[in-house]
Amino acid sequence: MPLFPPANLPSRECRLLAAFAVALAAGGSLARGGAAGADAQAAGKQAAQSLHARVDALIEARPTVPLAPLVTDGEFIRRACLDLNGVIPTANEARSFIDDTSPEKRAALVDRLLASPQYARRMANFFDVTWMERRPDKNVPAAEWQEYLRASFAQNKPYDQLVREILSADGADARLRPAAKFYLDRDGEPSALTRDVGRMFLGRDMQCAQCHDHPLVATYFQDDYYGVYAFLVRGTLFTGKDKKVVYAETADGETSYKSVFTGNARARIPPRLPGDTEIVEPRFEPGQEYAVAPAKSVRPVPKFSRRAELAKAATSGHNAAFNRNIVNLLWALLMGRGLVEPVDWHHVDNPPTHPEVLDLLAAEFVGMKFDVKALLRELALTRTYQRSSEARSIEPPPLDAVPAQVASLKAEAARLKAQAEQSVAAAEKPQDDLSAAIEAADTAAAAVDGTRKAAAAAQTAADAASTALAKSRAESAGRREIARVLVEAAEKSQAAAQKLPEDKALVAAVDTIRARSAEFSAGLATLSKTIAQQETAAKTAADALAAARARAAQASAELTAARRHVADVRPLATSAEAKLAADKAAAAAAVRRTADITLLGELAQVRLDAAAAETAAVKALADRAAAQTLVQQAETQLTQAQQVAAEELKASDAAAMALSAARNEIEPKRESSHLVADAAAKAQQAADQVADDSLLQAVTQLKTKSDQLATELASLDRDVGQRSETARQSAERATAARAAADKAAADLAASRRRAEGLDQLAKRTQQQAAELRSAASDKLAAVADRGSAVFAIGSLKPLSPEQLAWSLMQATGVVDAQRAAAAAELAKQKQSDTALPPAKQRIEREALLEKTVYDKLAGNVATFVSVFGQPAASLRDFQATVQQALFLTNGGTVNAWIAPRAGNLADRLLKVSDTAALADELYLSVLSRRADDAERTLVTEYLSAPGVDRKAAVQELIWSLVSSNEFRFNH
Amino acid sequence: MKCEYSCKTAEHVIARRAFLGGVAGALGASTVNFGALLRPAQARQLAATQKQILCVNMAGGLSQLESWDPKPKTDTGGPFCAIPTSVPGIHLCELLPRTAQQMHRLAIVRSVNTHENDHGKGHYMMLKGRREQPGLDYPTLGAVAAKALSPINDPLPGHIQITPGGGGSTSNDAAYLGPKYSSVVLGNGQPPQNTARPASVSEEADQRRNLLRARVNDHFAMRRRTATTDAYTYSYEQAAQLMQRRELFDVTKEPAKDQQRYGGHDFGRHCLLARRLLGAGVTYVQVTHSNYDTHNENFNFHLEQLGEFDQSFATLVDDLAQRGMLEHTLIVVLSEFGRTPRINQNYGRDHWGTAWSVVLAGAGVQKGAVIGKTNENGTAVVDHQVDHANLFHTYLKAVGLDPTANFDVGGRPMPMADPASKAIKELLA
Repeated sequence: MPLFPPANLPSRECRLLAAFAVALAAGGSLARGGAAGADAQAAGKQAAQSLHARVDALIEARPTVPLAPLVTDGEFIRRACLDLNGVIPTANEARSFIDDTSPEKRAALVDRLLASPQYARRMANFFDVTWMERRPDKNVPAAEWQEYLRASFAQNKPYDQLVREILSADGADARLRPAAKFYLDRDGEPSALTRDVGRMFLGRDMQCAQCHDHPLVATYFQDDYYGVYAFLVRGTLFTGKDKKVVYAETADGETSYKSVFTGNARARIPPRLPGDTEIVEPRFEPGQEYAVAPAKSVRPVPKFSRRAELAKAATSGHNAAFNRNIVNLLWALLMGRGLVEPVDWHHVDNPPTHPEVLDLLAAEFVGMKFDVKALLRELALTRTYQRSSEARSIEPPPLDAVPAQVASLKAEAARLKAQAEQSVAAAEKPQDDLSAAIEAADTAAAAVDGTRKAAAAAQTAADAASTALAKSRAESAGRREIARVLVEAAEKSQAAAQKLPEDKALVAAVDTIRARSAEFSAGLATLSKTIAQQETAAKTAADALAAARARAAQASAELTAARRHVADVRPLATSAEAKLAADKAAAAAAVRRTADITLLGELAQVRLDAAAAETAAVKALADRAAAQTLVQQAETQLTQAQQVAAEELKASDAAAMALSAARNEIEPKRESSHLVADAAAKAQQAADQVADDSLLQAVTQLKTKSDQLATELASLDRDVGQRSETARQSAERATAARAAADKAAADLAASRRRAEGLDQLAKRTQQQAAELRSAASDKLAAVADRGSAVFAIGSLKPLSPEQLAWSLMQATGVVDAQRAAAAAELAKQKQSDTALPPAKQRIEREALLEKTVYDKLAGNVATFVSVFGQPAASLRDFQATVQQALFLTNGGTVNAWIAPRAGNLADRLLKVSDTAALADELYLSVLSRRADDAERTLVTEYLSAPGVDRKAAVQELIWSLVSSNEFRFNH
Repeated sequence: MKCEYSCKTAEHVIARRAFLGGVAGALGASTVNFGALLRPAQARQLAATQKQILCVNMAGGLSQLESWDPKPKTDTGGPFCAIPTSVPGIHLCELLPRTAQQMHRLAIVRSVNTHENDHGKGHYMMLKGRREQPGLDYPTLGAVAAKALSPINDPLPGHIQITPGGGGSTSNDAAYLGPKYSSVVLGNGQPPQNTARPASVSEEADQRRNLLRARVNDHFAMRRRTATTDAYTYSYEQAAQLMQRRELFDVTKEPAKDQQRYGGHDFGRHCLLARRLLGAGVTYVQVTHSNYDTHNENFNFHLEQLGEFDQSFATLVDDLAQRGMLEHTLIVVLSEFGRTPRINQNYGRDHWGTAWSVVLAGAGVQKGAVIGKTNENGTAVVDHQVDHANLFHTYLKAVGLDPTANFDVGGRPMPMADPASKAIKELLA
């Protein structure tokens, strides 16, 4: 069993596990004594653990991206149903699973799903697409092939047996004819088969090694490619009398190559799987190679089938490539990506993320006799499988811890790289030794061919010599008899001639006979000589044959020795390569960890930046708001000051006018007062001279008047004085108010400028914050992708066309309807065989129902495959096309499923009046979970909008969920 | 008659495209809300540097002797004459009088030898630039163009085939490049499937449910966002845009006089539709004219078929030139092979991959040129022999791509064109 060298495992736990695995693989008990004993004890504890726990321990040993929490129940049932049964659960299944309080419910669900007839259907689909890649049908109908796969998985046929059947089927045996699709639909073409056997069963796409050692992959050798090719080169298609196309093999056909780069060439390459030893073929005497010899319209059957050896060698449990490939495929089926990714790209420079896990699973899978169901069960029970795909919870490490971590990881990576480089150098000698050994074996094989040919020629020569001798001997014997008869005849005729001497004719005849007899005797003598020569030649030929045979035997022995040498040195090269692979994997892991931590540091940084920008944006917004308040206040103050100024100005004007009016009024009075005072003075003068009473009286009157006027005038003067003061003061106030208003205006302008500046700042900081938010989101997505790549976070798996079709039909109630109809039909038909125990009856009934529903709805699935299926080469590169979106948006199929029809989802929802309950039923049916509060509100609002057409609205709700990302992906 | 808006400058062409875009927007005026969901990238203008390709597939195998490489008055020449063209010294068969007047815009490769006389294999080689290989399929020129030339997130399909009939489906001609670059087939010029809203869903309902979908997606994006979820979300935006622009596929929206100029027949409509699609910015449009597989009555069939071809093709070339589109549009006229110089007993010619012609024009290629030569009676190439792989390299180079570059397919490099071959330098401008 190829196991990961313990020295290179990243942690002590891993070493313990590996030690344990080695012990197990060796079939012995655990190592004893000293430190090894302690290790073994610890390992023994681990041994008590299930495989899934051991896998988790390895995956969780040294996470760089934080491990995501486990999924919720709703997510788990959706994920497990899709992965193991190819379809989402029904609303009822989801509801009862979510509400189930049993702690063992997840394991129970996995067991239920693995026991379901849909499990076989799902696996048949997965392996059909994996192996046939949606090729158009050629010689074996897809339905028969798929049924063969389904039946195989239904009976949980061990994987090695399944592949053995496929790789050795020829299509002639009716029972296994569907299994021959792999060969027959590829036209038995050796190049196509070599590539696909490599990709699909050995996890290596060696296409580019067809013409030269792979330019990009150090360990994809042209020799490996042609080693596989040699298994298949003798195959071809054969059309029998019944027009049936089957696979046929010949007993000859060799493989040779020449590199278009280096010119290196090799002929007669023996069949060999990568990493394995060469298959040694038995040799048959010429003409003895076939069980059924080739002839016109006869399918030849060689006694030794190279292809049968391919099936045997691959599935023996000893071919590491084969074992790793299948566990990697099954891992990818559940986890969304392989431990090695791409899955057909196993090589030293594309190491598994967790080599220990791959090796552990490969060893365990062989140990459990290739039991696919058992392995899937273990994988489904891992925490790794149950990791949430959500990125929300990812928390990067504290930023200040990152540089030290990165530095230490970098140092580790450098050290491991140096170590890997040493291994590369160390692997060179064993590789060269192997190449030399192979070359020597090739030379020895050529010598065997040469000596065998010589022996065959010697045999021919010896045969010819003894044939010639035999022929001469036979001829000699014949002639001797004739000679004897002739002598006899001569004697008898002589006797007769003596009695009848005058009979001339008789005498002549006697002469003739004598002459003939003499001739024959002479001839016989010559023949005897020839025979003697031929006897010598035959002996020489026999000696030569013996010598040639001895040489051939010698060459054979040398070839055997050379091959033994190849077999001896190959493991050295293989283990050097394994060590190299392990070291490279460790180095790659260290590089990856460094990158992960760096990325997490970037996430922490961008989050800090985003938070700071957010704070700055909030502050800028507050500042802007405050500034705007100040602007408003300044505006108010300005308005008030302007009002005051205006009022003061008005008052000042009024005072000035009053002053001016008073002044206008006082002057005539002053003049009158002066006149009266003058008149009084003059009248006094006159009275002083005249002394006239009347005059005196007048003087008195005038004086009185003058005094009166003077008093009035004085009063008026005072008044003017007052008004003048008032006016002055008022004018002063007005000036002050004016100044205050001007200042308020200046203040306002200033605060406006400030507000403007803060507005710009707020906008800028908001944009920065938005950009950093988006950068943080992108970075988080990148971190999550890294997390998914190392199984710390669940992956998003796009639904396959089949999963999408079945899930849509499940969600909208199409499956339910068919199932109900099938059940009704079944009930009508007959009571099931009551002789069977009830459990068995249930299983049979379930299988029958599944088959009926499948057959009824297969056409719909085919439609989805035609729209969503991708050609082989792009299968693992998910693409969403506009045609697919148009199909789901406008296509009749989906819109018809969404429209209400008795018992389907829309119909069920229309009968629910409580919108919150309706939301739950909708979400359980489509997304296998209950709606959250926000979603209930959304649904409620949607359905209670004014003037809403409830029937249409329900369909819109269903459509929006089935066309959503949450539905399109298995998450 | 020339259209008023065309003064042959590129700017006007761009303005016209923008105008067309505007019309489409106006038609969708009632879908304002939904339109708000679309990203601004959709309202793109054709970048001045974006190259396009028009491929005319003469299905069945066009006779080079009745078209691009006439050999009149020889034992193989057949009954037709050669006529002078707009380029002195270059002659075409008399069945192409209008095309002859466009010769100054065309380049003929008369020395194609593909060593292949099988329809399927010849078609494969000419459109994929490589020989069929077991175990590995290659993308067609259209898929390569769509992948390498189309702007990212182009709402329009980058790869459209207009076929005489059938269609409506998608095909797998993009091989490892994936379905995104597979051709959308417009059978007899019909619009692609599912671009019309079903009667059961009102326009308002469609808007509402798409808004809801966006909300559901936003919710999910909070949990996890990946390149694939973004791609899936965007495919719906593209679908909405394509629905808004459905009239793009309706050739009857073109002026009646244009429809007349192109000829009333199907091929004429298809060529006019090609003009419309190229004008809207579709990267690769392939029009198929069928059927040239003339084992019987070669001359009568070519007389009839090329009559259609000549009118529509010459008009299309002229229009593209007049509109300034030829500068950035490569035109290729190809078949799976040519036809035998030998005329068989049914007055037919048979399959012939040994010495035949392919025509190029427009972006990046010589104008009014002839590359390569066949002998006196057309039975062999005597100068500058090229094959499908050389041509494929040349097409890519003509539209500014590096044919020796690799596509990245799931982390693995895939050469854009056969790495063992190279472009025909003399053909490139």
